Amino acid sequence: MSEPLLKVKDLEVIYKTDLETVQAVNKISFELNKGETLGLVGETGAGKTTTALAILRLLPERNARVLGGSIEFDGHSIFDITEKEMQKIRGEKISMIFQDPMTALNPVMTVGDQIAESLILHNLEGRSRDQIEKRVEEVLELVGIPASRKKEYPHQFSGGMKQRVVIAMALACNPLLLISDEPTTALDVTIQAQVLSMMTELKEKLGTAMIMITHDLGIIAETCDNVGVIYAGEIIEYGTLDDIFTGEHHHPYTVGLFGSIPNIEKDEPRLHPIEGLMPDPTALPDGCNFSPRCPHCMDICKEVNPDILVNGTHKIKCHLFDDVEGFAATEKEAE
Amino acid sequence: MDNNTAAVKAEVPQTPQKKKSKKNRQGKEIWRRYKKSTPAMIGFWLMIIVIAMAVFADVICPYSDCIKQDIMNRLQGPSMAHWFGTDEYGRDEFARIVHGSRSSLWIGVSSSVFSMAIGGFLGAIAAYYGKAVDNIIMRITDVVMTVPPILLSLAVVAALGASMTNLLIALTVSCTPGMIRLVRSVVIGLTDEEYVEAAKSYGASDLRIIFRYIVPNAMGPIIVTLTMNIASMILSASGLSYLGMGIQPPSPEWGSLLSDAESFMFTAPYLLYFPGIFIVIAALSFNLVGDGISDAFDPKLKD
Repeated sequence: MSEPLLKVKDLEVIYKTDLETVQAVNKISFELNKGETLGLVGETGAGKTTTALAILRLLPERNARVLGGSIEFDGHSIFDITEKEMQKIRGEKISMIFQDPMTALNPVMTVGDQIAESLILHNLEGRSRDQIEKRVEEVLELVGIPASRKKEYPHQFSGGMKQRVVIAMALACNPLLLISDEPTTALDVTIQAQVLSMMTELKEKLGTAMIMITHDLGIIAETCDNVGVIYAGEIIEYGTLDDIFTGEHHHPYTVGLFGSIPNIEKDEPRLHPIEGLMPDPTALPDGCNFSPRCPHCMDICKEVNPDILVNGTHKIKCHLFDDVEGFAATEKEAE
Repeated sequence: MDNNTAAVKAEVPQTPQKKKSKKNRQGKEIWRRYKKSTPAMIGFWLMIIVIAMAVFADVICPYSDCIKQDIMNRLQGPSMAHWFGTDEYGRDEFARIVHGSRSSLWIGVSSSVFSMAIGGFLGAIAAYYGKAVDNIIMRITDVVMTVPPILLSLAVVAALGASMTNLLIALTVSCTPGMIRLVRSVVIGLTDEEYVEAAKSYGASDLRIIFRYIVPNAMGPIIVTLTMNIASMILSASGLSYLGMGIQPPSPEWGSLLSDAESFMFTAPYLLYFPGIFIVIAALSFNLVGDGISDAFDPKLKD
């Protein structure tokens, strides 16, 4: 466990059009060890998917620019290798599960052929056609689909089954890292539970590291080891599952997120949403990005963007904890 | 059940034959779906008849029949001796139609297929790569499209000289821009699909994505346009023949048969009917087959 599998440091991504510049990801840093699961939570448009696409170098070339930062995977910098080498990494070492299983499958290919695609593309062990077919059947059974259905087309599967196929495709090559981009949003709750427990099981069986992107704290609680809360392109709180769910100190946004979940024990007539909207990513506020919506906003928050404060495994980016015991701005010293 | 037996069958042969048997299986599957549609089957048999006519023209009647003039028997109506009557020089109309099918079909099919190949390639590249590549290809296409197709063909034939090959080139050139536009628009829609992004995410190269993901999904509209083009190319060829730029007399060709008959429209209307009917049959059969194929290729319409 010396070198982390994935090291993202100060990643900055913008989407640039003629009219405006969208600051999608602002200096995100995190690390992921082999076999661990990192959850990224946040609202729509917080930059979760952009981060994921940047790791695979799949950002839309037309308008996305990586301004700065580095991504290191398995000891290599993702931005320094050629497209050819990147194609080798995609699917073989890092694979992605897409948000919407309804559209992530090619309608004119049988599911078996689609799963076989990445096996054919990354045929390291020199498998023959028969062995590939066998592996396809294996993977299908692994995700709980009878192997006899491999000759069927995507439209013959239900939504939950399609998502299983998408997962099977991602797992076919035993990747080191699996990026799941809201894998269960398109599914209903019962199927969601099935798919999640299946993914956790598979992850344990295969030792795959995973980045779980979601806006559902329940999913995070169920599957993750570490959690990063993303707001307006920044990780504003980061820690182990315990730090985030049972810890004492929290970023006001995280408190707000938890407050937005209905509590079954308290009989409350209304939910407690976070007031206001995400700041316009084309014109982020001065100081802390959360300050316009923050219930504890102080004068300093409107002027100075807070540093990341560290307390053991727990990191918070908020002025509230500037003077709280145990939190120290170690990030600064390191520079 | 069905799937299992197919799988067992496919696993029996050794590796070299393996690929073939897989292709076969897919072909059979498509054929099975194709057979279910009655219009498609009618189109299929009509197409077979028209093609057979072109292939076995010499067996049906010797070529000399269609150029042998018999001035005593000019403009005879249909009879046992001359099934479709005779034209202004007393040539047997039936023989001329049978032999005319060769050049008409050849011109219609090959110019459409060539324009599909060229247009498909350029259109797909323009759409997939976008930016400068797209701009260059599409602006050239725009320029070519500003010239009316018949003038364009005329210009090409005038520059290269009248012959079968040059006629083909002329028709292909005039037909390609439309194909480029069609393919480009279809492909642009498809490149935004999530399954294309998913394919990228597991490391597929651009070429593989174009040929495995985009082309098969774009096949439906392209095949339908192709078959429509076949019919309109037969007609355009006849227009050029009429202007003396296409097939040179006395060789028969459906379009020129039709334009020759024009002056006898009132005295011998059958000279108009028969080539017209055959052009319609050929065009209709290709259209029906095209529709049938594009449906058979679409797995969503299966069963």
